[in-house]
Amino acid sequence: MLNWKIDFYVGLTFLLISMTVFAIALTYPRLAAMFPAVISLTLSGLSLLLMISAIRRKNNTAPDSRIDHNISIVSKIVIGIVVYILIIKWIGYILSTFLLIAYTVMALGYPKIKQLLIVSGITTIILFLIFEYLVKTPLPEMGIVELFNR
Amino acid sequence: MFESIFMGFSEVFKIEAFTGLCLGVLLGLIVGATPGLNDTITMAVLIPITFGMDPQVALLVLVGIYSTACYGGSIPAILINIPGTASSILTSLDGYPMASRGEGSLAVGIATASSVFGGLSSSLVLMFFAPFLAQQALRFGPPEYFSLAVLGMATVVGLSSKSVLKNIIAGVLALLIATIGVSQQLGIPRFCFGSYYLLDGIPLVPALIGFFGINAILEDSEKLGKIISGPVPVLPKIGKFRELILNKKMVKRLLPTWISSATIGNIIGVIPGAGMIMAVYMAYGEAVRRNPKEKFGTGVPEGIAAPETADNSVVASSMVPLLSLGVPGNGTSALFIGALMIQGMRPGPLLFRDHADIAYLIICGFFVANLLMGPLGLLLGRSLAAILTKIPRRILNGVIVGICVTSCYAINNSIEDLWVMLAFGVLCYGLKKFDIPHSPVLLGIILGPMMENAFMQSMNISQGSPLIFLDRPLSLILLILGVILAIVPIFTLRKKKYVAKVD
Repeated sequence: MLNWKIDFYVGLTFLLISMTVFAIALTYPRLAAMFPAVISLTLSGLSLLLMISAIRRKNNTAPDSRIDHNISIVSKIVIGIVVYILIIKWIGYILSTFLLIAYTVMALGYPKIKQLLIVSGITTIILFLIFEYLVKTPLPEMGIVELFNR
Repeated sequence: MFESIFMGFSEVFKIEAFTGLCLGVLLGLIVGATPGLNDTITMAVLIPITFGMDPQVALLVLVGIYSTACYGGSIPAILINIPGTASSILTSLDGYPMASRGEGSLAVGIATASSVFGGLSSSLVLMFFAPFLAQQALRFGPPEYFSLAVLGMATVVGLSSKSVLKNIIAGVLALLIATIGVSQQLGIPRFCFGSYYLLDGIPLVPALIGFFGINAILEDSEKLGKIISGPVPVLPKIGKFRELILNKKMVKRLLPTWISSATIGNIIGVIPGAGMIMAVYMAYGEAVRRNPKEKFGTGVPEGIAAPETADNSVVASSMVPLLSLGVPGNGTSALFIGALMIQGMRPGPLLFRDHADIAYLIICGFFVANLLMGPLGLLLGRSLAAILTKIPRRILNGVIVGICVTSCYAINNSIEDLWVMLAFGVLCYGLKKFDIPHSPVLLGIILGPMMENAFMQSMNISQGSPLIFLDRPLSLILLILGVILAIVPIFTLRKKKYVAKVD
C-alpha cells in the first residue's frame, strides 16, 4: 500500500477539483447543473473518505511503499509528443512523424543510430501510404512550404 | 425457418461470397489488432466501395469485419498490454500478466476459444430468437436505461481487489469528465471554457488511444529506462499451434464463465444503445463475483474468458433489433443500415419478407465468420507474436507511438485530438502511479451521457418523482442487481481483511 501521505494528498486534490467543479456548475441553469453538481458532491465525499482512511493508516506499523517512477524518461517521451503536436502542421506529417519515432527510440537508449533511422523512415512511409491512400485520410502537408508559395 | 437457414448457408458457401467473408474476417482481425483502428472506421470507409459489389459479397465482407475486430483487439492486449479495441481493455488486465509469466499460448488460446464461444452463441440467438428478443428490447425506456447504466457502473466496485474506494473514485471522476460538452437538456455548454472543440464533449477514440497506447508506452519506457545494461526483457512468446488449443480441464473450468458471460453479452447486445463496453465490464464483474478466491489482474483465466466471451456475444445479437425492427443495436451495427440502403434494401420486418435471402445470408454469415475466427485468429496471434518478438523493444515502442499519433489524427483530422490523446495518456499514467485503477474511467466516460440523459428524461416523464425507477419492474430488477454487484465486493474485501487480521 502507498505511503499514507500520498493517499492524503490525492484525496485533497480530488476534493479541490470536485469543489471547483461544483462551484462552476452552480453558475449554470438548474437542469444543466443538476448532474455535474450531484457527481461533484459525490466525488467530494469520496475524497474525504480517502483522506480519512489515509490518516487512519498514519499509525499503521505495516510498511508503506513509495511511488516507483523514472520521471526523466517519461518526461522525454511526453515532451517529444508535445513538440510533435506543435510542429506537425508546420513541417508536415512525414518529417514530423519520422522525427518523433526516431527521437522516441533514441530517448529509450537504442544504440544503433543507422538502424533506428531506417526503421523510423520505413514506418513513417508505411503509415503514410496506409492512411493517405488506403483509409483515404488526408494527412498534414508541409505548412511552411505553403507559406512560401503564397 | 429451417428452410431459410439452409438457404442462407448455401448462399454463404458460394465461392465469391465465402471469399468475401474470409477477406472480411482477416481484415477484421488485422484492424482489431491495430491500436487506433477499429471495425467502425473500417466499415465506414468500405461501405461506399461496396456500392459496386455484388450485395452478398459486400455484406459478408462487413459481417466478417464486425465479427472478428473485437477479438483481434485481444492479441496486442495480451502480447504488449495495448488493447487493439476498447472492448479488449479488460482482457489486458489478466492476459498480459499471464503472457508475461510464459503462458502466452494459453492466454491467446483462452481468448480465441472464448471469442468463438461468445460469437457462436450470439449467432444462434440471432438465428432463432431475433423477432421475440427485439420485442422485449422495445420495453426498455429511459428509467430502464438509467438503471442499466447504474448496474454497469456498479461493476467497477469490484474490478480491482486493492481498494474499493479508489475504484469508485475512478468511476465517479469519469462521470464528471463525461459532463464536459453541451448539455443535452438545455443545449448550453458546460466546462468548455470557450472552446468550440469541447462542445461535443471529450472525443472517445483519442481518449482511448491515449489511455491504452500512450500510457502503455510511458509505462514500458519507464521500465526500459531502468535497464542500464544487460538484456531487455523480451515480449511473451507464442508456442506451436497445438499449444494454443485448450485442454479438457481448462474447457471444463471456463464453461460456467463462458455461459454467464455469453448470457450477459447477448442480453446487452439486444438492447439498443447499451453497447459492448457495458457487456464486457458486467461480464468481468460477474466473473470476479463468482470466483472470489481468484486474484483477478494477476493472470487469471476467467479474467480473459469473461470479457472476450461477452464482447463477441454482443456482435451478432446487436443485429437482432436492426434486422427485426430497423433499430440498430449500436453504432457499428448502424452502419449496416447504410450498407443495405446502398444495395436498395431497408432493415426491419420487411427485409425478411422482401429480401429473406439477404436477411438469412447475414445471419448465417455471422455463424460461419465465428467458426473461421478460431483458426485464423490463432494463426494471426502466432504470426504477430513471431514478428513482435523479433523487433527490439525500444524500436517497437517508437513504432507504436507513430501508429498512435497517426491513427489519432486520422479520426477527425484534428490537432486537438492529439492533445486529448496525450492528456489521457498522462492521466492514466498518473492514476496508475497513485494506485487508482484506470479501467473504471473508460466505463464512466461512456456511460455518463447515457446515465444523465436517461435520468433527466425519466424525471420529465414522472414529473420529478424518483419513484419511477422503482415502480417499473424491469428498472427495479436492474437497480437491485446493481446494489448486489456493488455490495458483494465490499463485503468480500472486508472478510478477506478480517481473516488476514485473525491469521
